[in-house]
Amino acid sequence: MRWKSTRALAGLKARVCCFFCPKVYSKSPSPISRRGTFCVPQKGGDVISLVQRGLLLLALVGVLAVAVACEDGGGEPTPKASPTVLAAVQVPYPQSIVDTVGREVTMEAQPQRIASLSPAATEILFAIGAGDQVIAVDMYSNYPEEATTRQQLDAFQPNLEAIAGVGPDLVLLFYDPEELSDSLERLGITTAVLGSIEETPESVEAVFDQIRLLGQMTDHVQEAEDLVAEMQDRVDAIEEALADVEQGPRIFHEVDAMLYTAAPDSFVGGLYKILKAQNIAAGTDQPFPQLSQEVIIERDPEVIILADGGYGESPDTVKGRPGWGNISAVRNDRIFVIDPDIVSRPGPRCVEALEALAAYLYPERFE
Amino acid sequence: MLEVRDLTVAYGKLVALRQVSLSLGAGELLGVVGPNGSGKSTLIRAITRLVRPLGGYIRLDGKELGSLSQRELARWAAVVPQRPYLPDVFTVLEVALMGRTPHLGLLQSEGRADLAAVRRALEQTDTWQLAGRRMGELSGGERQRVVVARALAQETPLLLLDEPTAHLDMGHQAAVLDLVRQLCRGEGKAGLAAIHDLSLASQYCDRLVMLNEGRIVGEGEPEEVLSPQLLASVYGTRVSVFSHPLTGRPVVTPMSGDSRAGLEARGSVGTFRS
Amino acid sequence: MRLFGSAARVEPSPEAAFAALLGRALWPRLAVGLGALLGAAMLAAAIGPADIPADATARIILSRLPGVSLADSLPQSWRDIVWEVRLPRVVMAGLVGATLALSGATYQAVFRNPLADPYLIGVAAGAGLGATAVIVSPLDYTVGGVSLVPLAAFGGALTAVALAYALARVGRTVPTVTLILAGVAISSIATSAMSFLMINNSQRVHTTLTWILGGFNLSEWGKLWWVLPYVLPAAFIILLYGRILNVLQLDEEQAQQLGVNVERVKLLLLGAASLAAAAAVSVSGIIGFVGLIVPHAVRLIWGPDYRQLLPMSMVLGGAFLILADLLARTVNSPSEIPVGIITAFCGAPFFLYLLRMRQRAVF
Repeated sequence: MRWKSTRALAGLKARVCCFFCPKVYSKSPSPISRRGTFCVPQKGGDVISLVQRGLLLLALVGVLAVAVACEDGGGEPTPKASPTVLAAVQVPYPQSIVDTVGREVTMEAQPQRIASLSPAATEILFAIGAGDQVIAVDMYSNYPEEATTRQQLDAFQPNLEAIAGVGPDLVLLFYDPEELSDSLERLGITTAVLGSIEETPESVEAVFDQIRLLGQMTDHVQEAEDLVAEMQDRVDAIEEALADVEQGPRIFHEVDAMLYTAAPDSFVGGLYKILKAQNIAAGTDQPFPQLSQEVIIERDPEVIILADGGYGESPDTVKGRPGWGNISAVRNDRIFVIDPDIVSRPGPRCVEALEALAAYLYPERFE
Repeated sequence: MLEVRDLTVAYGKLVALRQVSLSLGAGELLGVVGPNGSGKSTLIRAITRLVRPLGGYIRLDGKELGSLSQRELARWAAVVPQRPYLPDVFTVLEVALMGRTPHLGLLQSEGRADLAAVRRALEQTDTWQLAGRRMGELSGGERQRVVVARALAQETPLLLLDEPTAHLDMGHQAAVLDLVRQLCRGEGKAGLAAIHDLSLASQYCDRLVMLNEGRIVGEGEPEEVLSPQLLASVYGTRVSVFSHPLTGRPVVTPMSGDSRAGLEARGSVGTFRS
Repeated sequence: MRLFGSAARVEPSPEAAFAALLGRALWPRLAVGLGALLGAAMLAAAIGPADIPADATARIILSRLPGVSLADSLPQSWRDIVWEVRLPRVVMAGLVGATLALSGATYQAVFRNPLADPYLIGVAAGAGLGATAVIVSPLDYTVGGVSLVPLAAFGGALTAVALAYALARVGRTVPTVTLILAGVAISSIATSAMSFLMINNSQRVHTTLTWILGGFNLSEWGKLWWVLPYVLPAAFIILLYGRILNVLQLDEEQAQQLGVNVERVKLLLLGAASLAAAAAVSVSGIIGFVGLIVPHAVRLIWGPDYRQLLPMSMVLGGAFLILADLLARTVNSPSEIPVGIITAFCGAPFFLYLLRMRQRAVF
């Protein structure tokens, strides 16, 4: 599985710069903007592009506040991007965005028949009130409950005919096998690839990006902003509570019984970074390495998190593993099971995962 | 020792032997002659149970063939196959030692007695000096003699030879058949040899059986069987038969010239199966 | 290449050939092989991703002897790592390597086919399908703390082989070529079923693939009992048949005429080899190359006599897989590399070297 992902922060900085320097922006569209997560207007004429810039600014504000140490700050719009634009409620269509693999996506009107082949996108869409616009989801889109009532498609082995058959006006993919997006576009179906951000270090920010992007695409900008703000508050609360922590406990995050784990350079690893945990998988260059058993015992994790609880593993099976009896986490009974859907899915519930993990890692600080 | 009664063998719909009956006693060398495809090899395959008869029976020393285990059978009858596959990497000694297989239990390996038997067999076949060579390094004649040595090492009362001289030069042909005859006369073995060459069969065998299209068409002393009339009808060619000046045994040579006419008279060339 | 023994031959006298045959005792070679095996095992026990001094490792292992206590001052984690993790892993790799090489040699002998390996007639595909079916199943696949995966793999492997054997049967005989073809067909059916299961359970693909690629990361002493009850009797039976397997290298008719009950021997030996390979695969996954290459390497070095080839394949197969697994856990430390990658990557060049050195045909 290969993800074309983006380093959100770098992209954001570049885009912020572009935003304030329209000339430079218009002259240098490619290398940076193509890598961008969103918001590179290229169609629709000057007026629209102005309006969009205004909206973009609005969208950027939240991110800038936490992620970018930009001296100008984000709260000061340029004279041209006037308050009237900020007040706009409706997203104008047609609108163009650039998806995470650099494809330009143009929507003629507000999508009403979305096929979401990404569990994370599905969760986001429902969370920002765009659930009514979703007519089909992939078979792993199991949250919220309502999503499972939609028609089911296969995201891993997508069938062009089946996708086209549900008559979508927007297809969201989280990866693009065999240029599926091109095939769909040829059928006249607007398609956006919202690439997985599992490898993105600034994980939570990248989730925010996607939420805002989907908000814009579906014309739920305000709900998206509200969701991001709420999530940001919860992340901030955790960071605040851990402000005085120098170094958290050593953790081992078990992805499956073969001892695959999440290295720091993964979405899950990013959550542990926020929690200042010492990931015992540090030092590998893969996002999901298979650790040698003796390494796990030697590095002696203080907390073990099982993301494979649904597949037969439990604190008891871990305790029963030969040679594991003396590991701190086993001795102190600090083995916890977490739902892999919330912890590894870059959707709105990642803050739930973060809070759960915080409670496991710092029981004395979080109830 | 060997008794074959009304033996009928078929490969699918192709009947290879029809109601063949013959018997063979100790000390006797029986030659089985006949054209290509007449059933000579099938007879030997049936006696070693490689093919199952449709009818009739085969008895070895009064015992029904089916009542013997494969290993018991191999202690009764040794075979010199026509064109045996022998991996090039095996040495002559290794191949000859395989003749001891039916005498060895699963837990046994070859002992002094086995090595002595193999040595004797190698010396009898004039391959003793080749013992350390690999099969891939031997000439066709040498290979054939090693196979005979393997059969001798098997130390069986019955020796079945399928064209044992086919690839040998005249000297080695004589040597092999002399040896076989001497084994029969001297050691009381019973020998059954399918032989292509009528004159050779006539010189060495005590009795001949002639097969044609799966049936026995002649049986008895070489002089009785190798009559020009029978040979002409079986082989579809006119032959000359005359007596060997020293042994008095018949010598057969084809008559040149009209053999083609003879074939045509017989129907077609296609009756010759390879 | 003369290093490897009996290569030089001018024109040996018959007496010398006889003497050589009589003196061709297995024991000196077996001693060399066992030495290599022991050396590999000691090396593999001494080195690992966890940084434990070799002398500490030796003290920990020796302390398991009754009355010896040399390791009391060492950290408990070291003792756990060496005794509970690393050593069972080394032993398991050796056992599986020996089993696969022995099975491969047996398959090559019975099929008289140099390309045969233990997976030829369905063991791998059957085991893969069995394991995949359990791994992707939504049900809890451990019962009483024991994973059902090895059991399913074992059952799948034996079912596939039995099916191939039954389908290849023609009257009272099972022609080897038909058996190979039936095995290939059964394998491809099982493989496609396995792929179907994997694709329909994408979230488990990684686990399944890792299992299939094979490895010893999860070895433990207890798992030896999954393997030994099958491997030991199978190895015993196969080793008894070394001489018969030599005879079987002739064609089947000659073997039969030499007193070998060919069909029964084929059934018995293929059954034993498949059983052993299935047991090995069920705990280690599908490790390729060992069963194919080790018997050939032994053949290149010491010749084609199965009475020597079978035991030598076992000891060298064990040593080879122990060393391959050593690389698998150290090269990319702290991550693992699937050991099958190592066996192919390191085994093939050595094999090609042997092949180039020895000019004459060996099979």
